[in-house]
Amino acid sequence: MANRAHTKSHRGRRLVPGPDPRVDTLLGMVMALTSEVSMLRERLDAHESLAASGKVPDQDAVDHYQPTEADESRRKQYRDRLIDKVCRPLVASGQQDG
Amino acid sequence: MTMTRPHPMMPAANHDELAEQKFVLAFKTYVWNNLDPLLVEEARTTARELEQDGTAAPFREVRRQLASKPVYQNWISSMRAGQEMMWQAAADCVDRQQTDLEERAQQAPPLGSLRVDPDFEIPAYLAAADTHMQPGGYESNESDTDVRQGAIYDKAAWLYSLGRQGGELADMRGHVVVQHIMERFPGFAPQRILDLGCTVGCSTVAVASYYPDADFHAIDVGAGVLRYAHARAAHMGAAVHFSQQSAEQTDFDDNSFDLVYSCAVLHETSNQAVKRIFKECHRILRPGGLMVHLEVPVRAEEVDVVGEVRGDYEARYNNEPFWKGIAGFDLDELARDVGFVEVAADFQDAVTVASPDAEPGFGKPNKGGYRSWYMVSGKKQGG
Ligand SMILES: C[S@@+](CC[C@H](N)C(=O)[O-])C[C@H]1O[C@@H](n2cnc3c(N)ncnc32)[C@H](O)[C@@H]1O
Repeated sequence: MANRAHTKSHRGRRLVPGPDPRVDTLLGMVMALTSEVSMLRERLDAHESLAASGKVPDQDAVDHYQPTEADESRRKQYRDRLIDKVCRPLVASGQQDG
Repeated sequence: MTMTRPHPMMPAANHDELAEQKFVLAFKTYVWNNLDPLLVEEARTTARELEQDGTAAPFREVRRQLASKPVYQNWISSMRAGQEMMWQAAADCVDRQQTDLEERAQQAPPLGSLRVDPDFEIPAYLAAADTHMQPGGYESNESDTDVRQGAIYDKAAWLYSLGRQGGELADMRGHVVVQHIMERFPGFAPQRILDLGCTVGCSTVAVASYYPDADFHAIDVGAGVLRYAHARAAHMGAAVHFSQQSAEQTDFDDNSFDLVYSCAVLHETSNQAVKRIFKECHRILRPGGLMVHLEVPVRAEEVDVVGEVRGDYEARYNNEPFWKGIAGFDLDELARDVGFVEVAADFQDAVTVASPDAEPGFGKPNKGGYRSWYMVSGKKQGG
C-alpha cells in the first residue's frame, strides 16, 4: 500500500547543494530509520503498560492502545532523547569552528 | 493529537501511526529549535561578510556562498526530510483505511453537491511540481470514489504547521477572513458566497458557520480533494456546492456573488494567474459585493536576509515557486486596477473565532507566521 506509484511522485524535487547529493539521501534514510526505532520503542512501551495492568498484549490490544498522559510524558522523553542523539552531530558540525 | 477523529472524515491513527506522527512532529520541532538558529546565524554572518560599504550584496550572492556551508545544506535536508516523512506518515495511515474512508464519504448526509470535470486541465504552475512535496500534488485522483489525496492533506495539516493553524480542524484562516469582514464592512451579510482554492474545505466550513443560510460554493483544481471536501463538509453539517474549476475562469454568472474569497491560494499561482483571478472576482461579484484574499504574512519590503533564505527554501525545496513573487506583488494596486473600490491591504491579527466585538486586528504590525495574515479586500462599485 505504501508502495503505490503515486506515493513515490516527487515532481519538482531539487538537489540540495553540497559536494555530494548522497549526503541528502542518507540524511533522509537515517531519519526514516530513526522514526521506525521510535515507533518500536513506543510499541514496546505499550506492551509494558498492558502487561503491567495484567492484559494480554496481543496485536489488537497494542494497535488500539491509547497512551495515557503519563505514558505520553515518558514516551516524549525517549523520543526527544532519540532525536537529540541522532541529530547531535548535525548541530555539532554547525557549531564547530571553521 | 490523539487516536480520535475531530470530524468523521479525518483518518484515525492506530497506535503505531500515532507514534510515527508524533515522531515527525518532534523532529520538525527539533529542527526548528536546534538547526534553525544555526542557519539564522550563518545567513547573517554570510550577508555581513559580503556587504560592501554598507550596501547589502544581492541575495543570489549570499545564496551562492551559503550553498557551500554544511549548516545550510543540512538545514535544507532536514527541513525537507521532515516534510517528506510527514506525507509518508499521513499516506500510510490513510492507505490502511482507504476503503473505510470511501464508505464514510458515501454515508455523508445529503448536503451540498459535488461537480467534477473529467476534461479539466490543471494549471501549468500546479502541474509542474508537487506543491509542499505532497506526492501527487493537489490533483491526484484515482477513481470516482477516491478521497485519498484529501484525507492525506487533512491528516498532515496539523503536522505541517505544528498545530498552529487552528488545531486539528486547521481552520484558522476562515475565521480570520470573517473577522476581517466584520471589521472592515460591519453588518455585511452575504447570501451567495464563493471560496476559491478550497482544498479540503477547512476554511470553507469555518466561513460557512458564520453564514449558515448562504448559498455556499467552493472550487479547486483537484477532483480527489474536492470529493473529500464535500464529504467532510456534509459530515460537519455544512451545505456547500463544490466544483472542479480554475479560479482564473469559472462558469459562474456575472454579478452573481456577494462574497468571493480565498485563503492561502494566491501564492501558489503565478503572476498572470493572480491578475486573471482578480478580474474573475470582479466579473462574478454583484455591485456592492466583496472580494477578500488572505495570504501568508510575507511582504518583500520587510524581508531581511533570513526571510530571503526561508522564502528561497519554500520556493525551491518545498515547491512553492511563486512564494517570492506574491510577496512583491502590489495586490491593492491590482485590485484598484480591475475596478474595486474601498481597497485595503495590510496585516490582520490571527483569531481562532471571529466576533464583531473583538479588538480590531486589521492594520496591525506583522507578528509572523500563523499570528498574522496578509489581507487584501475591496468592494465592487455600485450596489
Ligand atoms: C494552500 S491550499 C488552500 C487551503 C484552503 N484554502 C484552506 O484555507 O484550507 C491552495 C489551494 O489552491 C488551489 N489552487 C491554486 N490555483 C488554483 C486555481 N487557479 N483555481 C482553483 N484552485 C487553485 C490549489 O489546488 C490548492 O488546493
